[in-house]
Amino acid sequence: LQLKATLGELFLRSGNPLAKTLVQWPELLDLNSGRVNATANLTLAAGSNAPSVDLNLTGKGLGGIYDRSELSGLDTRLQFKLARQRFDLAIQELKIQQANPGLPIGPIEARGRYSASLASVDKGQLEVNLARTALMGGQVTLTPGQWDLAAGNQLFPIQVRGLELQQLFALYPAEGLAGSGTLDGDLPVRLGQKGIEVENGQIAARQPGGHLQFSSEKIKALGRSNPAMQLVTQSLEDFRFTTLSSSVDYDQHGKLRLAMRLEGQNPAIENGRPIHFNINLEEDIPNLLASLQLTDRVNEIITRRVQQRILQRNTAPKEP
Amino acid sequence: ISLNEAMSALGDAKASGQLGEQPNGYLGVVKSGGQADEIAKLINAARRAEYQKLAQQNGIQLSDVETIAGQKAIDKTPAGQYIQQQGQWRRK
Amino acid sequence: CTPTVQLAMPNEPININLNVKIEHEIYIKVDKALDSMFSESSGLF
Repeated sequence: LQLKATLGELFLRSGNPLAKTLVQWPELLDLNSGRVNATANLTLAAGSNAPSVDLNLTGKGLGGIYDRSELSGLDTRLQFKLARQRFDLAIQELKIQQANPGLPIGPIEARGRYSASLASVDKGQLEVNLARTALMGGQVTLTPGQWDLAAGNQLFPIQVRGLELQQLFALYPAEGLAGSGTLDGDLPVRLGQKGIEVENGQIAARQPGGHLQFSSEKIKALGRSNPAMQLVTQSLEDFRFTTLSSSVDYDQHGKLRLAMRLEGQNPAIENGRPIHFNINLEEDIPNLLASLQLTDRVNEIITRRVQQRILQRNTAPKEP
Repeated sequence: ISLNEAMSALGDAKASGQLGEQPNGYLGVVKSGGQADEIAKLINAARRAEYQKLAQQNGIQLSDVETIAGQKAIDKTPAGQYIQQQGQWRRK
Repeated sequence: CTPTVQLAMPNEPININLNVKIEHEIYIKVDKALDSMFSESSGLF
């Protein structure tokens, strides 16, 4: 039996019939705009109940929400083959103008393929030929390579180049924080059971360094309340740094730890006497994103998922 | 009945399984009867006023506050009382 | 001209160690405010 089907051009604005037909449609993906064309042929060998499928799909200007990120301007060309209980997905083109989980990431580009058996869909072979995105004025790139996801958590080397502190501070929800400087870094990302983690990543500002300005009423009050802090808050009001470098660690619960070295001076303090900081900084990324998303006027679907995610995080058994 | 009366009757209405907490931060009627509907209406109105104030003070949307409130209400509901998940009432 | 004597400023650096744990204010503030609303005595819970 040979069945050749050409899916007419489909405008997703009119609702997403694909989501109702394809049983494997990712539950967290709502597409609500753009055009999809697909041609598929389905052959069912006599006597076997497992059909083999060969699907070519192109998408143009797709948009919508995946999990808690708004996606826009998504173009893709992909080929999906299913035969003898194994599938092979080849992504010839994937461009996402912007993915926004609380901060704007993109444009993103990716090319690669993934194949696995239907029995263990998440334990397949992944090949990445291209995976990079623009971020805060810089580029974040995954080194192309091949990974066998069945072999436990794998190393995904990520390079960060040319990230602008100015844009990072503009996006970061902290009052009175500004500055300039360009960061480069290398982050060894691992894919664990419960999510991604980074061990002993490195990030540092390019020479000649940059500028930090951190002053707000709250910070000044903090300085007044405690003499030791006074020097810290005053020096950071106008800090010219020559060195900013940090180790980066991120665990599967979303905890980011930076052990930062900051060297520079504030011309107004002891007329520019050198000041060296060792700062251990801890940030909770899910909280950061939840906070960004909540104040970001995101729409209803994401807000509902923020709540579900909070529910899961709090009811998950606490590790010792 | 007055809001005050609704407040004092709320505990029993929840304990007897007439009212339960929903993910949107408001009370839902599990089994109507007696004053359950009236209690839910008055309490929910009072809650909405509180949420409005909080959203306004922090410059975020009402629905954002309702989302956190819903999660908290369900979290803090004692065992045996009703909570609604994916549209289904179930006893915690 | 009269030489000006510049007091040699101690030039070795001031060293500061700092531990910072970041809390997200709006998310925390709303969270705390709702805590009191959903407590025994609030009458709304």
